[in-house]
Amino acid sequence: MNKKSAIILIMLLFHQIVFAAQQVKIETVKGDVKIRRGVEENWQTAELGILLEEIDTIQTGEKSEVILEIDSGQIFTLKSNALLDISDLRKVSEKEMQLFLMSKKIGKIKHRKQKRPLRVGNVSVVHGLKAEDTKTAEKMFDKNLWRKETNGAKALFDFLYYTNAVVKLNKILSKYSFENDCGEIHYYLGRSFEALNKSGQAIDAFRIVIDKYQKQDCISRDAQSMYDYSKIAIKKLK
Amino acid sequence: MRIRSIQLTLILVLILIYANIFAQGMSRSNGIGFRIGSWNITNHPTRISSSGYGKDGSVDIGGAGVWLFYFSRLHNNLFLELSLGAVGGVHEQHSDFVVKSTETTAIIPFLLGFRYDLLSPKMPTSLLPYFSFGGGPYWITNVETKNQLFFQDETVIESGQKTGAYLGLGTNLLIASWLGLNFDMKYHFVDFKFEKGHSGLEMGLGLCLMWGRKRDMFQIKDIRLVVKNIYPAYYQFYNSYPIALISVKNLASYPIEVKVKSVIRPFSERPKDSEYVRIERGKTKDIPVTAIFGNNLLELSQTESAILDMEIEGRAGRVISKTISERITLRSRNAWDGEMDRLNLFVTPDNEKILALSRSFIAKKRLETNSDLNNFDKAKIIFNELKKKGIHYHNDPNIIFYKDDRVQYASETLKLKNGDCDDLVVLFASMLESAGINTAFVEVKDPEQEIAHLYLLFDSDLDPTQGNIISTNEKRYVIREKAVGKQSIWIPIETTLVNIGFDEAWKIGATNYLKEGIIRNGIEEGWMRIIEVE
Repeated sequence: MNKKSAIILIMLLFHQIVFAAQQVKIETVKGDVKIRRGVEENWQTAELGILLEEIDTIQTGEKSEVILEIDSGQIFTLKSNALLDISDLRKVSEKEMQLFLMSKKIGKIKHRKQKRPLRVGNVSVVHGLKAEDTKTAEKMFDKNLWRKETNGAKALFDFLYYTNAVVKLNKILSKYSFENDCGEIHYYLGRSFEALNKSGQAIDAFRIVIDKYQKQDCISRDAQSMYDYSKIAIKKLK
Repeated sequence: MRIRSIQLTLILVLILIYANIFAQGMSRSNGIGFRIGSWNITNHPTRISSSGYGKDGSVDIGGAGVWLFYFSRLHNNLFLELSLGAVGGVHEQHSDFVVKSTETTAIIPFLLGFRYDLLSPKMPTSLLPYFSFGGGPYWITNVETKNQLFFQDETVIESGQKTGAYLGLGTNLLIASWLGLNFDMKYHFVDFKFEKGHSGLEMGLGLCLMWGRKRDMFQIKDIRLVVKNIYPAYYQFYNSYPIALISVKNLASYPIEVKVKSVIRPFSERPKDSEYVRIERGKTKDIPVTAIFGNNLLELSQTESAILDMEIEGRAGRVISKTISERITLRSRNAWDGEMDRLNLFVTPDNEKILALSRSFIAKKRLETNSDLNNFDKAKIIFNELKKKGIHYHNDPNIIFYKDDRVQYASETLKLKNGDCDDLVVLFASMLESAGINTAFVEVKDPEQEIAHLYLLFDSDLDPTQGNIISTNEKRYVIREKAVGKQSIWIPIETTLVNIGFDEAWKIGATNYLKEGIIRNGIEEGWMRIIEVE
């Protein structure tokens, strides 16, 4: 499939998806929890009962936690030191997830004489490097922010939002240049793909975990357990 | 005698030159002619002889005749030929014993045949050699009389019809497109019992009058107006974009080259020649028609009609031209057909007034701050200065029967101090581009809204890692690729909010971009577009 046909397909399929604006309500707040409205500069303290929109962002500090109630009545807990765009909570279907991953691949196809193509995310943030050659993209290096966003993605995984987690983790990979994570991002990618029965993609992700663990100076217990899990998972999934 | 020969030669040369200039080697489709021919049908050369002090002698007229002929083109170089002739020959002899013997032969051929011109009309000559063939009935009558001294006079009449054929070779010399001289020879294959030898060979000289169509080099099959309405703002665009397409078919039996010269009275600065397009034999090609407009086009304040004159010139050894005209409509200078890709033609960063104004805004601030400014600062200054000038949003006027959108040039908006979303986008883009800042239009045709909307993105020239210089919220900007592998931060700005200042306009622009472009996937779905201003 050439690039043009793939883009048309994506557009047609996206057209089928209804992006109903969802609201999220803050149910309980523990510790330092802040919200940022849309494109506002300032963070404000999260208060019980506040309704959040898709353009808003929420973050938790150390030893903090917030429980959110989504439109559907579902409860979502964001644990300490995490950051999440409310739009990331919109349930992403497997089809959407695959289209997102495909669009990333399309972005890596060497484009013809195209002038300044737009580089945006398709789900949540403005700078999401969707149609992007990651080798040439300028990436951020802010470890704290990386940690918070990764924790946000882990929260998605914990609450069984596997497709959302895959999208979010890929965005983090595109956005940040932080590489020494001992394979943490790929571990959660692998776990999410495994849960979605995408064995091939899961094995690819787990292989990167093993590779990173062996190349990087990983001494934490978490890193060891991610490595061990990945080895077993590859054998199991093959 | 010698002087007379020179005069005759000169006259002949002049006739030939004249023929070459005007006849152009082109037979018309029909012709009728008259020719005289010499055909030795009596097997006696034309001569008068006598001997024995005049007692014996003979008079021979081998054969001469007149022909009427008609021809008509069947296809390209092939003609149908119809000839009716009357040829006669006499052989008279007298001697001592036989006082007088006369043998008279007459032939009336009625022949149908074909003529094929050997040279194509591509040759710039008026000599058209050909060969011909055909056949038909030959009515032959032979009368032989003998007046004898001692016997009764004898008269023998033979008559009959024979079927024969001919092969011919000749040339036409076209003196004018309607008049030609003809020289030819034919060999008639017909069974003349009463004669022998080579009397089948006939040579002739004729004159023919021609009428009907010349064989065309090309045919204009169709004219399609690609652009029925000319928008003055796009006048540069028409230099390269075709206003019309002319379908030309090659009717010649060889490749030709065709070009179109176009002019729009009275708005073209000068005629515009297209490139020569080669068209193979029998093929049809579309030739694009473009035009060069003069500055008077930009002065049009209302819709007017004009005539597009096109001269189609075909060449292949010689040149043939045809002219055609079409009526087109010219819209007013502010008319815009809603095509986003062409809105940037209203952006005038090189307008002296705009250039001076944007530079004066920046220079003033630079003096105040005594420091260099980045693109973001420059854009902010320009926007806020426009606010100070009292620029604000205002709807387009309602003009009866006006189907186009009306877009003001930046200098007009500055003068009027107001405009709608496209006017303000054009104004701000012109100002920023004149300051060397790249811009792009954001067009939103939200399926949930009745009216389309337009705002602007500009390039801050900041690296994506420098976003915190302008905002702590990355949702406030868009990271776009400047060149391959190079990215920069672009700022969305709602230009209709010029009256409330840069910060609010940026905030609203970023929010709209986030909601429409990112959360609702307007870009992927295609109802939101970003168009570079170039």
